[in-house]
Amino acid sequence: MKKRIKSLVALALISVMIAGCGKQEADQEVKQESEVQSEVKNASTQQAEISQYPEYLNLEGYRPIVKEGEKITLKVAVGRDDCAETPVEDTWFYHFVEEKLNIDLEVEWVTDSERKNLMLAADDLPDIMIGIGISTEDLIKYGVENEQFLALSDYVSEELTPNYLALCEQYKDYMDFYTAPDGKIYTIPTISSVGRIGYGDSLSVYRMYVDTKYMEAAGIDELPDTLDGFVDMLRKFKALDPTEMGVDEIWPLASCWKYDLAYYQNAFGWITSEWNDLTVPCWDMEKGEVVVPCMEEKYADYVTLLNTLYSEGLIHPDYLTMDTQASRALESAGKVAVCCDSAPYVFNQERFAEYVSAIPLTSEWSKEAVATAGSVCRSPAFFVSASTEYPELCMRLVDYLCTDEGMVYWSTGCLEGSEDTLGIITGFRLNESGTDAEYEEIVSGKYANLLAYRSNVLAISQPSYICQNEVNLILQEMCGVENPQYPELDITNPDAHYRSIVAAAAEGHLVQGLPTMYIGQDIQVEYTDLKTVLKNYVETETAKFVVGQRPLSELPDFQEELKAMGGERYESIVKDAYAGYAGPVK
Amino acid sequence: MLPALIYIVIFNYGPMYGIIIAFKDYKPKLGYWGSEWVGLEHFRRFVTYPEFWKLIKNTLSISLYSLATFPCAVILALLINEIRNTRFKKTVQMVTYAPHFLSTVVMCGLVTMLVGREGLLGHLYGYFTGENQNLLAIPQFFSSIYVWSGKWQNVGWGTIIYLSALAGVSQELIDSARIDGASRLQVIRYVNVPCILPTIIIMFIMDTGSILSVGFEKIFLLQNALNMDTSRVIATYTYDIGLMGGQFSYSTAIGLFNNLVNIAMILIANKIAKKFSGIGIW
Repeated sequence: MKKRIKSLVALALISVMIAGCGKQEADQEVKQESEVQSEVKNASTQQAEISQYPEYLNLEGYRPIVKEGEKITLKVAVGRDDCAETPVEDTWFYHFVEEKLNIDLEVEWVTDSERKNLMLAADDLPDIMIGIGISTEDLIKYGVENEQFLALSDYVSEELTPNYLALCEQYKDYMDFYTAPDGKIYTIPTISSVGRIGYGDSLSVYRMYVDTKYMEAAGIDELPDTLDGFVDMLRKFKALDPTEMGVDEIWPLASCWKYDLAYYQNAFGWITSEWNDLTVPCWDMEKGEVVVPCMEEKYADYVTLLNTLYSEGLIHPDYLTMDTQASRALESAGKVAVCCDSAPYVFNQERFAEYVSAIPLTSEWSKEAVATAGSVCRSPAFFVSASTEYPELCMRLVDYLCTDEGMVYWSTGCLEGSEDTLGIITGFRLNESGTDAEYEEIVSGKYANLLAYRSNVLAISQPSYICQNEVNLILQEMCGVENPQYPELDITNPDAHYRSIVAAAAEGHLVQGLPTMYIGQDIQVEYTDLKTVLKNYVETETAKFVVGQRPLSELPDFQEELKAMGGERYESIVKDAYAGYAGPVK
Repeated sequence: MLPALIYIVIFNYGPMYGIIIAFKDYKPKLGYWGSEWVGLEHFRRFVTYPEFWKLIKNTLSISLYSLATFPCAVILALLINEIRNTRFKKTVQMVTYAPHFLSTVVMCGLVTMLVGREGLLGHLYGYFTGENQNLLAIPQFFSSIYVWSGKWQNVGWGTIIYLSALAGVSQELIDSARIDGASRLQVIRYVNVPCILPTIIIMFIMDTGSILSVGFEKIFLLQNALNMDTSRVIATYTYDIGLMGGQFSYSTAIGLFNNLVNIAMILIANKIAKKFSGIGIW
């Protein structure tokens, strides 16, 4: 027995010693990392510090990145589109990286946000994370505060990452979005499209499609440009005889994603990005400042508008509880005059061309018709773990993805007939118009669409692009086109049709939403507590006002209640967070 | 016995060291031991959270309501036990067990359809009030929908333990009672129920141990903007703030708070049961 007790004591002492050593090492690591301070702009000054790169790394080119004879495995966590069914190990890009870049990959497919959260909470991170849903808040909390993500900007140099450096320079106007409060960059930019009509910032956030069949039946020639006019139009739709329209009931407006809320909010002068949560701050065009919509006097008018729509039957009685499928079923059955959905072809493949996009509205609360512009900068999607054994290799891979070839290969695959196909894919070729890629596998009908092909055959993750608008031009160049051009929108194509009508409706009215808000760690708890209380209360009470469970006469009381719950303090916290913001670029 | 003990120690007690983060400001990089101690700060934050009492009230109203329906499984078991036709008895058992095997998502889908504006209960509501209504949009109905749908799903499964207890009732005792002139109801009242009373009490005590543990998944699936007043419970708040908001220390503190209340409830229920019936878990 004594012997056993001695053994246990010895084991405990050893454990304490090991833990102590581990802590010391961890402290040293933290200290070392905190000493590294730089931005992309200062990258050249860092060069001297990071002059020794590992022997295994090929700095002369990218084929391979890891020199022949060396074997290194990177652990990668990836998120994929819902339509992905095949193992990641079956995708072409996975094999390309292994065979041509000589980097072995050990991939985990992350299918839900809980896995991602647990991964972060346990600090059990793979070397690289791509498209697994790491939010800006995660970036701040885990990346900046907990130092779990590698600051890519600390490793930028002409020698190691010339292409990443060039890309950051090229898109420097947008790099603020990807720069953390500590001035460092932890990700690769994923710019959707800049200035390409029908993509990115040329589209509005709201998607509202009016059925011209209903407009004709109601005798409406032109789309309304005022909020009152819009409500009157819905009333006219409501007054139509369902049998004459070939349906058993008419709902003037149905909403899948509550895009209509964004539309009304714009009509109130609010440039909202989170239209389902009006405790989120936005820019007020009339006031010319950042506001919290639910704390504004005109919030009462906004709620009254929704109540009018509900009480007059202009929206479905289950508007607040109806799910996407139920709403889309009504749209597909032709019972809805104004459909708030992603695109007409989603709910009506046959008659998609008969829908027009609603245009931005003015109102007594906003003299200017505005629409929140779609975001150019997509959420950060590519991260490297701070505890990776191979930071230089990860950076070299990042740099490869920023080359012309890397950008195209990652998203579009390789050219038809190229030896890089590895016998796994046929590769892309230019379509008839000579401006876009097409694939034999899709043309032959083996895969239903590009998304299914890309998710199951080509890419290891989503999003599989860095600069979407660049890729299209580069692949044309790769096919020998001398003067690459963006493909024009062909409105007979359902996808191009919706892009075209939404872009046309919003042209001249687009205003960028607020940049990401950073809340200091010292007031994070106070902010979160106020936010959760206010958000729930606003959501619940607004719903009650809309359906008449609470009389509109109590709206002033409601706003006083918000103040009593700490609304003014919350407002001041978010306004302070945007203190340096001068206003949106129109 | 030893393998079971090892299993319990490794899988039930071993992970409990993680509770320590309820008293720390947990930082993944610093780990369980390296994170800074904050004492009872997270508990203080929870009990001073402006909606604390609302969460407690909603959670208790649902769990006490569930507890009040506790006799349903006992009554059903007694009824099934009285069926003499074996084939019919097995059919009844199978039909009542079946819903237990539905996943929560499917079950909530069925409930949503049933109580929706076009659902059977939505129509029934319309029959009495003149207007069909989505019952999930009426906050007062939420706890009833939650409890009775749960009862529908699990009452059959809950009878198993009572049926096995009833199977152990001495046939001689029943025959004696019948010879003495007892009716079927009197046999149930004076023979069957007293024989299974220890099982009933122990099951009841165990149920009181989950008084603050209203299942998160089902509530989350049935929740909407109109019923949030009554459907926002501790579990949904913990999910929002913990798993989605990444405040692991805070959510662990809430979890620990829940467990302490649950343990207290078990102790109280056990004490009361023991005092009045002499039966208890220990």
